[in-house]
Amino acid sequence: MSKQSSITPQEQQKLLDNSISIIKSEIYQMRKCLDNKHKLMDALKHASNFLNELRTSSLNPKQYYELYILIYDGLNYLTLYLKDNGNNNNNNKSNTNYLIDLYELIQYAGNIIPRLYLMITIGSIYLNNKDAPINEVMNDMLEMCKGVQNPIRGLFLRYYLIQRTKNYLINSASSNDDKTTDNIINFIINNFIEMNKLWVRLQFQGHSSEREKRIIERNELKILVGSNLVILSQLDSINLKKYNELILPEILKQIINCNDSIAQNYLLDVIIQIFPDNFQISSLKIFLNSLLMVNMNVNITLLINSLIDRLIHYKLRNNDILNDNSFLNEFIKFIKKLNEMNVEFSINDYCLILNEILKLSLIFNNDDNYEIINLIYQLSIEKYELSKDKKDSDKFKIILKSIKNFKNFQDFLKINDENYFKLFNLQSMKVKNEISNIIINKIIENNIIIENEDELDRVFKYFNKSILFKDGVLSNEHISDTKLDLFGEINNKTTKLSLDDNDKSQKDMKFKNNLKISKFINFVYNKDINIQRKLLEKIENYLSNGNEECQIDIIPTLIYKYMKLLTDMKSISNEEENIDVKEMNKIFNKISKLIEIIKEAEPIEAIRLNLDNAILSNSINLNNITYEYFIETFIIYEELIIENKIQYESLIIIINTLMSMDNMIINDIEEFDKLILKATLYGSRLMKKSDQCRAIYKSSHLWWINKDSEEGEGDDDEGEEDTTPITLKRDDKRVLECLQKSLRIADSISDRNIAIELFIEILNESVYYFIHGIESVSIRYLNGLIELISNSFKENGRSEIQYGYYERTLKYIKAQRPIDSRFFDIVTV
Amino acid sequence: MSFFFKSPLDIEINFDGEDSREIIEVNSTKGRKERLPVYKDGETVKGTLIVRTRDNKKVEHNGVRVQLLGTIETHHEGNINNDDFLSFAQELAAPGTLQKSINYPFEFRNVEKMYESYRGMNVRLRYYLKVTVSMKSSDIIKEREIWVYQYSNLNNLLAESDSKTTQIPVDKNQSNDKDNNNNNNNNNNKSQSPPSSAISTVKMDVGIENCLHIEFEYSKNKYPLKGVIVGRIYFLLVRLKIKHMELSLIRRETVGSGTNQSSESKTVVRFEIMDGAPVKGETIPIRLFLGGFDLVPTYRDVNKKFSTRTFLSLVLIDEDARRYFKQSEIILYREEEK
Repeated sequence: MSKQSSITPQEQQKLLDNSISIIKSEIYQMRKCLDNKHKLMDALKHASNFLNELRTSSLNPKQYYELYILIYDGLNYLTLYLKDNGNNNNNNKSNTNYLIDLYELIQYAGNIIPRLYLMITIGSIYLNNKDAPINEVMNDMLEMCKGVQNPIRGLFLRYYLIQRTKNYLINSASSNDDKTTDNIINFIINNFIEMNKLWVRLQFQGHSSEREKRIIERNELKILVGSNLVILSQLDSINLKKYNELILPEILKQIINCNDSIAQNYLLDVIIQIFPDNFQISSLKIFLNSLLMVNMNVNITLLINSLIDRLIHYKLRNNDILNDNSFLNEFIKFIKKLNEMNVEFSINDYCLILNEILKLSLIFNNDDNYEIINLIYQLSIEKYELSKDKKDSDKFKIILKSIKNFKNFQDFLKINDENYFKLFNLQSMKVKNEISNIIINKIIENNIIIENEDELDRVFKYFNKSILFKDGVLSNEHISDTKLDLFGEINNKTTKLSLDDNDKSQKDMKFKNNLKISKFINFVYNKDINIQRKLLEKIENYLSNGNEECQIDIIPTLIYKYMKLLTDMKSISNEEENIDVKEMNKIFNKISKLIEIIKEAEPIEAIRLNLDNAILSNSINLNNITYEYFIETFIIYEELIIENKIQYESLIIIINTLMSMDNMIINDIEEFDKLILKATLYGSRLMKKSDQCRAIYKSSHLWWINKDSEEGEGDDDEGEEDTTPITLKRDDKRVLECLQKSLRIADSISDRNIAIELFIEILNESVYYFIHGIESVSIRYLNGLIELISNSFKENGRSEIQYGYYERTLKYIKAQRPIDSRFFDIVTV
Repeated sequence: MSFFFKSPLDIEINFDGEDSREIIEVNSTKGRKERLPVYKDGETVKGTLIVRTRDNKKVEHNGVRVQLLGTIETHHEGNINNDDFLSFAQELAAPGTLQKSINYPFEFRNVEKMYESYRGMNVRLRYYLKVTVSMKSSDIIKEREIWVYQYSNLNNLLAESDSKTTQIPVDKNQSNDKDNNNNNNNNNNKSQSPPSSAISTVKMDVGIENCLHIEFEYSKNKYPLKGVIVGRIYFLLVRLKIKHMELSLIRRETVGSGTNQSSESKTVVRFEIMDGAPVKGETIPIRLFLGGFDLVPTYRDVNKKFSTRTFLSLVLIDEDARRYFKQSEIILYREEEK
């Protein structure tokens, strides 16, 4: 082997080509001797010649394999010839003698490689002979192979041994008695041990600078070693007992003793892959114990992963067969021992292994499953406590994430989560948030309804420590992490920059998290309104202890939940004819307080919530409360809405809401009038004239309010097709005043195009009132407006948009003529 | 062997039952194969002599004689030495006249043939029949060689044996001269002399200090020519980069005695028993069938003229082609086949 390094690849290729042509030619000669002349001795001579090519030390394993394949075919031909020859020779005894003689004869070959290949070739034929001393022949071949100590040549020779005898081994082990099977097993194991030794030894061949090259070569050769185990796994007559008592201990002993990480990594994985699932489970203890003894460089984690993957698939495929989960304890024992033996064992790997065990545990439905899971959480905590570096905590994230794999996530709300929660608390805020998100996602995904306080407490326990957490821990943590420069001093410049960036992304993150909780709140529901109320109060309580951002983001959702509760209370009390006004008042008060919390940060949201609650309270006929909500709205409008565009928009919503306050108008018109006066006043105080104009003509509707008759169905008139709306409030004078006022404001606008547009809008409003028969809006008034508009167009030219609008309005007026003859009097030139 | 271009007589020597007799093929001096009938010690040599005259002419003679001779022919420093150790004669015809063909039966009863036939490098031991027809001018002579096997069984071998399995340290024969001085003095001989005379396993424990330490074991020190050498080599310490290991059988032929003695060795068999370097603790099996090789029995002293001995040599060859070897004598004997 040492000479190999001095050979260039080109030279190697040349040597290979040369060997190939010799082998081919010698095989051809051999076949000719066998086919035509039955000159066996000459044929063996040729066989010996081509086998001599396998004595080379100059080829790499792949090239050597090329030669091997050719030679295997050549020897196969010889085997078939000898078998046929033996069969023609009907007398079994003489056939036996013939093979014995041949077996001895080829042992005169002076070189060991050709000699052993020929011995194996003939010995393997001999094995199929019933009269042969099979055991002796097998052991003899095995023993003599020891003469080849060169790793590559020895591996191929022994591979040839196992390949040649494979059929015999598999057939006999399945049909014969126990002793034969044992012999066969021993034979294979023995060959395996020798091959592994050679394979490991290859690492130490040649110069130490070629270490990498050796590793590559060894990887190319590993299948040869593994083939022994593959054949073992193919023996039918192997039962659990044999596997556990004879096969596995022997194999593992060799694997452990060789103390070579490449061998251990590969062979242990082979064992996991090739032996049946139930063997794996029953031998778990032995196998895991061996894993504790392997070389430091062996990737135990990977091996455990592939073992557990295998078991998981087994369970998934045979759910009914595999019910006993007691073997899980072996894994627990294993990880405990691993930790005891190697305190320094990487936390990452430790967690990966625990996570695999968790995964496996979770596919079982057994009752004690959660005990095991709990134990795993406990082990994680113990490992963490051993660790000196507290930053390691994040590595346990994967364990916490395991809840994702709960078959039934509802279980998470029930199990003893003491350890889980402890572990959770050890994490950084980032991880905690992530886990909380997982909890929420799983609840949403599985459509799990939280319907009692225990469940709610369980979930909020996690939120409190994460998303809702009050102290600005997150940003502090951040500073300690990155703000220190090389000399451990805080670098101010970079601090500011990154702070801004981070602030933004942190805000985004927080908002997303809060949104998640809002979503979650929608999954809190109990149809018993008392319980539901308690649940909501509980959430409120949790929120009140949470940080400010989360309050602001989440409170609206909670308010809507309260409103939903009120609606439910209302519908129940409608049935029972018994409105619990007191309780409802209390809830409305709660809502008001909640709105109070958020109004500074989110004034528009606060207005919307107030108005929604005004509508709700109006529908329950709680006019005091309705009035309060409007007052609250006005206060926010006055104090907190500063931008004029938003002022206008808010005002429009207020006006629209006021229009729907039917119960208030009916029962408390004085209070209502106060409100509408205020709203109209707001309109005239808007900054932009166009906004003033529009707000005022919209306010006109506050003095003339109809209610759709269908809503008044509870009244005594049995509506039939009576679609005439019931008029709740009508003050023609006020309406006209509003229209006039808005007209004046429009006219005072210097941009005539805007003025014209407003004129047309007022015309439209006027037509509406005309149709509904408001006397103050007369034909004369309408004609005057139309004239004003057409004159304005004449003065300013027809801007397309406004003129189109104008024409459509006129067209509408004309279209009304057949229905309402009064329209004939409107001049539409 | 006729000295005349055309001998007036044609002599043919035939042995009784020749067709069924065992025949041995040996290489003649001229490089051809000779086929010779095989006789044992004490076996009667019996046959018929046919003497024909050419063209039915009358030939006068002074008598016909047949001899059975045993000769050791040694080559020593260019001189050929013949030494008859056996000579029997029989007169077949008194002086007279020969015409046509005449048959003369002959018989040498229970001849003791002390030695085995041998053709070596510098020695030949041969048995032959010599027919002499005495003539007025010069005698007409005809010879025919027979081959003699000397069988022995283990028991008489043991009785006679005062075997000295010699203790030789591991001899190191370096082909690389530059390293010559390195290990020469380190030869560490721990040979254990085997119990003398008994047939026993041969166990040896040899090595070079801090470099190599092996133990080897052969099942026996005496083998029949068709036997098999079985043994094992146990590596206790391996610091050499061994490339392979072989066994050789070396025949040593010693001619003469005293100051005139000279020996010549010939490697008869070379047999690779290990490919590659073993590690400490490895055991390498040995099995060498002897029957197929051209071996001769061990003779310590053949009529004070020569001896033939065979040595089993274990040779280790390292990656720099240096050879390390250890020889021990094995006793070969011809065992009568059942």
